[in-house]
Amino acid sequence: MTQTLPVAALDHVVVDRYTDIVGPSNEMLGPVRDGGRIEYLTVPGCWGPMITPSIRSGHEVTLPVRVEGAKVGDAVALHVEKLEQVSRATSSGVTSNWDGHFLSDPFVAGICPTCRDAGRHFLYPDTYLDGFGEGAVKCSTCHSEVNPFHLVEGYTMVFDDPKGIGVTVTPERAQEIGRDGRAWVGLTAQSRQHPVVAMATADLVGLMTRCRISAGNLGSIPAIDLPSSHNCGDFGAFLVGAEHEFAVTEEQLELRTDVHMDIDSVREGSIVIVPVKVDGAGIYAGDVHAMIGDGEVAVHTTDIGARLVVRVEIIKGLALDGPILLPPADDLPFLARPFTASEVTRAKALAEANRTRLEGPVLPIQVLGSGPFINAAADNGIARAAKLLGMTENEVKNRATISGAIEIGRLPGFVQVNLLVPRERLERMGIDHLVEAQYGKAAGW
Amino acid sequence: MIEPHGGMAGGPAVHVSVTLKGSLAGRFPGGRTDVEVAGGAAVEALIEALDLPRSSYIFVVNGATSVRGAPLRDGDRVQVIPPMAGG
Repeated sequence: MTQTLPVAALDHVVVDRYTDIVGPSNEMLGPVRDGGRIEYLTVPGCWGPMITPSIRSGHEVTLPVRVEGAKVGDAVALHVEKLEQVSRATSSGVTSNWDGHFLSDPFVAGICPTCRDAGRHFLYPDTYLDGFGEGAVKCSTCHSEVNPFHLVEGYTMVFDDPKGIGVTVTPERAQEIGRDGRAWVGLTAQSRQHPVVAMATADLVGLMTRCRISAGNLGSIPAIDLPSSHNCGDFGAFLVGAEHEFAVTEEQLELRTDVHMDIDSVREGSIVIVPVKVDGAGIYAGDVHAMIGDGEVAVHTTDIGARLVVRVEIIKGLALDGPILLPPADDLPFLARPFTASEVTRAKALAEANRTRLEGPVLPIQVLGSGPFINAAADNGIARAAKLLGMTENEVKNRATISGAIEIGRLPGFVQVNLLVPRERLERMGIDHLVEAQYGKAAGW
Repeated sequence: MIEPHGGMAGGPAVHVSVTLKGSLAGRFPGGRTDVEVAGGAAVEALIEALDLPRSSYIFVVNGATSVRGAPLRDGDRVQVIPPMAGG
């Protein structure tokens, strides 16, 4: 009989190993103690993995870390203490699927059609890069082109030293960067992806922009194995009834944890409160972006490698369906910002003059929702908020309309439901201390 | 108008308007076309009717997601969304 010895929980866990699939089958690193820190060395999430068909998700995220004492039905608050860009260049742009190079879904099940027709192993082919451009991805067995994606129109961007400014470069410069791609992108030894700068795409030249780094993926593993790119209600919907091995039913998709958020407010200084759907939580990260405009309408943005440090805090007994986000105060929409003492004084006077009593101190909360398209995502976020806060869905709608906002995190279907809610509801959930630490105590009450 | 296609026979043909999204959009001007299918045809009959590649699709019928096997009704407005993931 074998005996497993307990491993002492660590104060600080460093993660530089990666996976494409997230779920109960993952090896969990750590454990980290409650209150300890996890330091992730992330690699680009999307485009590099997308042109590497052996990565079964078009997505490469870190292995998860076990949080000692986190049980199913708890939540874990992730305090984003540090988020620093590593990559010096990246490429991205609008994609289309390369028909014939995948089964059902190019992100999940890339194939080599030549090997298939020859009766050889053809699923998730190993590949190498041969030159530049979308045709550079070649099957290691038969040397035919197997990229599951066209990069229809894109750009290559370089960053300055403090990683505060980005500029898109010419085709010639893009090719020079592509020659030493792993170094420019900052891929670590354990990463399996091809450097996306090998696409050497340069349709948009000379554009300048600001960097504001955010983590597209940060959260806990789902209760079912999922391709990490599809751990969300919009992209995850393509798994329902699919022809590949990761097909799920609609009911199984409810076991997701909505970690693939692509919300630009998941940045340094934010707090993400995530569900625990597998004992130990399994906190993983990745898919960091140099900048991302609301809605991410191109569907892809500047994927970069990064160093991300989070502090973990278990919230016992807070059963969540999906994440809650406490963004930095600057990111709160106008109507969802905490009131000043002066505003409260005026509101109290107005209420009294109309024989009405104010409901009490209110503070902001952001409940996230996802679904196959934007209206479905809003419905999901509203339903989650109603359940969490003990309100009817109509009350959530009213509050979000007159003292909050629904923001688009990502198209086609990820939203942030912003509400100012009575402090006592937050207290009941056990997160009032987090909200007050983020935004200060409600003033003037 | 794309002519009758697919599905179980029975009843008069139904006409639906289809919008192809994402990487499918370039197949028709504006991504839009009208299709006539046999009465009783299921939503998934549109894949064959429009000669779309075999793939995971999301079908949104009159603003709500639909399963592949749901029957099409005359006048339905259908969006077909090909697999996507981003970030």
